[in-house]
Amino acid sequence: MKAAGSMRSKLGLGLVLTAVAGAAHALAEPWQLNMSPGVTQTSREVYALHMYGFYVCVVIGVLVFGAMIVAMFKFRKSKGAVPATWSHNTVAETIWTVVPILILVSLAWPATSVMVKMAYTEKSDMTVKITGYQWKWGYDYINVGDKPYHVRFISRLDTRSDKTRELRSGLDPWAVKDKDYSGVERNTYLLDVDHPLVLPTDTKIRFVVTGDDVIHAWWVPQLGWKQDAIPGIINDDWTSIHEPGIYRGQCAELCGQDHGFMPIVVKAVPKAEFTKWLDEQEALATKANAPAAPAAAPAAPQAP
Amino acid sequence: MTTHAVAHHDDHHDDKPHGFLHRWVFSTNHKDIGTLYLVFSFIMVCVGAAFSGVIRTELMKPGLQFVQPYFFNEMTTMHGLVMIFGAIMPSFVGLANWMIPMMIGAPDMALPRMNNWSFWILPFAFFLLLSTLFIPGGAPAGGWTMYPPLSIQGGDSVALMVFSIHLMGISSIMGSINIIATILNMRAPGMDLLKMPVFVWSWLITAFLLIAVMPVLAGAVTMLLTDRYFGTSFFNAAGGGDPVMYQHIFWFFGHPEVYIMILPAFGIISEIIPTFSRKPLFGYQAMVYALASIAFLSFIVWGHHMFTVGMPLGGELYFMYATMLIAIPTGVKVFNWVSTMWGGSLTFEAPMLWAISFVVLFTIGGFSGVMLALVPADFQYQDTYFVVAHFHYVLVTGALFAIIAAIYYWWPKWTGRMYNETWAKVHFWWTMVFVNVLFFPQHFLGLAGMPRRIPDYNVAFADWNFVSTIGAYGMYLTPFMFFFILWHSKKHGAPAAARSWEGAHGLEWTVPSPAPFHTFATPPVIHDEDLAHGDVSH
Amino acid sequence: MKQTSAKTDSDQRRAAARRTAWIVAIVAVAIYLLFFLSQGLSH
Repeated sequence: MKAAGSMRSKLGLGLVLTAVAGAAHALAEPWQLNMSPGVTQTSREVYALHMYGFYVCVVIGVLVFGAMIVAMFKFRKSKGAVPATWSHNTVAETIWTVVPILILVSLAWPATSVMVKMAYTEKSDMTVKITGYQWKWGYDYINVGDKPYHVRFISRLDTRSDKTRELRSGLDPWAVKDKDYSGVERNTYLLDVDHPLVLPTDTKIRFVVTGDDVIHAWWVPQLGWKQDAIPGIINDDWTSIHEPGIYRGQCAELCGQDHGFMPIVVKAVPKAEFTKWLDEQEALATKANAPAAPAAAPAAPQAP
Repeated sequence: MTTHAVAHHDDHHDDKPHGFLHRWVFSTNHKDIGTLYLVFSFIMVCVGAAFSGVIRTELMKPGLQFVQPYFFNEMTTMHGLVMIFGAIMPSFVGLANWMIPMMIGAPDMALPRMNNWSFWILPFAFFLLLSTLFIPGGAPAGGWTMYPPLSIQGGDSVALMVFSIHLMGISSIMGSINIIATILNMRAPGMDLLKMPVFVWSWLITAFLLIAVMPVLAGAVTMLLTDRYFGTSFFNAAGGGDPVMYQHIFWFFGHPEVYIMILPAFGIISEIIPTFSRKPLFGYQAMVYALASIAFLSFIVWGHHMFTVGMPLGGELYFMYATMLIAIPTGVKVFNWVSTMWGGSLTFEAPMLWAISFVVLFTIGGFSGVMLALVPADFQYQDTYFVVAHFHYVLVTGALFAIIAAIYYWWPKWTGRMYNETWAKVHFWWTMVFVNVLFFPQHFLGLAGMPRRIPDYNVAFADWNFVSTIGAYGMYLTPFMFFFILWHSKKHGAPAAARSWEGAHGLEWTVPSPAPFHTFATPPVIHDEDLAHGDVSH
Repeated sequence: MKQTSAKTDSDQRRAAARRTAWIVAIVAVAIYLLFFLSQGLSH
């Protein structure tokens, strides 16, 4: 699409990828300390920006707190320190006004460049509409390329999580497990749904996001962004997922009593598999002769 | 504060009103009203902490063990409202009442009867707010930010919440009017604006912020009220309104509000660090200008609370750049505090310990603030526990630590008695450990992907939530420690000198300890060397 | 703003303080009306 741009971004991606060496988990790990680099170029750039901001803060922190610690040991009254009377130093004051400005510019520069890329939702290959409801998500496949689709379904918390999360259910949250994309059993308590959002890999997918009743927010950390789903307003975003997998997220805007119980599951599959799945769903939707009919779940591809 | 404590100072003309009703309910004395504010906010800290106790206990383990999700949301909402409007803000107003007249050589606040009213509205406001816990439909559960359409889905708690916020707003506005009139008109001759203590400056600026934004909040919640009960559609998309407009109006109030809760803290720290460094504040004028710049910037950065609502790219860029600018004056303040310590003669009494920990931990809150300003990163941080960690570092280890520092610092002046330094150190170190155990892991939770305001979570978040809850339980002992230390000091503390700290400067230290019921009935003759900033060349 | 507080007559200072207070109060009410009415009029 954009030759020069994609050359540069591929280079950037390569650098970031080497830096984080395959640390992309589809789920949070116990005792996890840091953000996940995610599975899109955007999420990796966001991660790199986050780490850059973090290290800037660490360096400034070491300098400032270091100076405080030195002062606390060197200028103790108990060690006979005699107070100075100065309360000015124009050179120092100029330095610590100007240097932070330069640091901030160095932060703002990459941030701006990532933002501009994230805001560019044009030239997408397909469109999915996301609607937030109290307390579930609705997904509409609008089009792939020039071909319109009528596939629409609702995605809710899975039954096992739903039963376990009842007040004093007596059920064990640790027992709610499911196989991830590579077949490994993982805990999916409150992070699993009945019908995941199936998406193709390596495809620029445009999302239009809105809310039906109150404000929700659609967030899958692995994709690198979240977007508020607001009644009466349509926002748009895009992603392009590089690795097949199952990526889990949650509603991120307080939306009432079951705000914590409307997860998001994205199942990214290779393009061919996706097309096959979507066409099956389209056939079912057409057969039912009702564009708003919920999709039949069994058609969803299981983990190979 | 009580008749007992001042009984040693019979030589001072003491015409305290007799009887509880006359002394406290009808009080027009700035010192008594200051005490009322501080006692009230102490009670509210305990109430707000109790709400957070429900939150942290439910979050200790995955699964719902104690409360229903809706009640959990009531708790998060009430915790926010009570801590912000009931604990932090009134305690700063209490400190302002006590100290501003004494620091500028005024006999009292400019409008003493309105001062009484400002305080006595507050218990009624919080009676309304807390009563919602007992009405059908329960307390507000839409978050302290009260975003529609969710917030107006509640029962009749909506009306009670709105009226209680109106009352809090009226109280704050009247308090601010009083502070502005006092500082601008009641200073003793010779107390020029640029000789005023930084605490007084910080409150003058804060009062203007309050005047500018509390009416905005009142307008926003009034619109919620009419949307809920009178069929208007200010924020109702189906009726042609705009839910995002509420967020713009709310955060136009909300961001200055954040600085309303931190600027007086900056003022307090700028009093304490020079005292215990025995060295003048570094860059007094720069500190004042930094306060003013932060206040100005607070009006033009509200959009950074709303990066994920889908603003146009240009708007997001503007709010990002403007927000990052705040780091400059804030950095100046931190560097100046460190420079004040540099080359001083430091001792580490309790107020200084709290002040130093304020500088360190508030700066950590500032660091995560800079990270949050980076819009693409904010797309990940927004509405996660990272944000919860950020604002608790700013508000607990920032604002609350400064309030505790101020109480230790001026307590001898108020009561004429010193506190027990050993117990105060225990209180400090206990708090230092547990506040970080409580809030630091919340950074990790947010980065790992845990949204805020959820009552239950995936087991991957279990470990750090457990640690955080342990920290919270440690913190719940601290109000009792603090209360005990102050009570013990009041009963058995050593008598305090007029200048209770060796390095203390300013008019408040020229009056006896405890401060007589009426100070500066005639304006003092000001000697510049009594003042911390008497030399205008600073 | 040099020596605005230099008046020694405390009655005079209180009168000035009342004036300041009224001005600030009127500003506050104006801000309230501005935000409320601007929303009202835009519909």
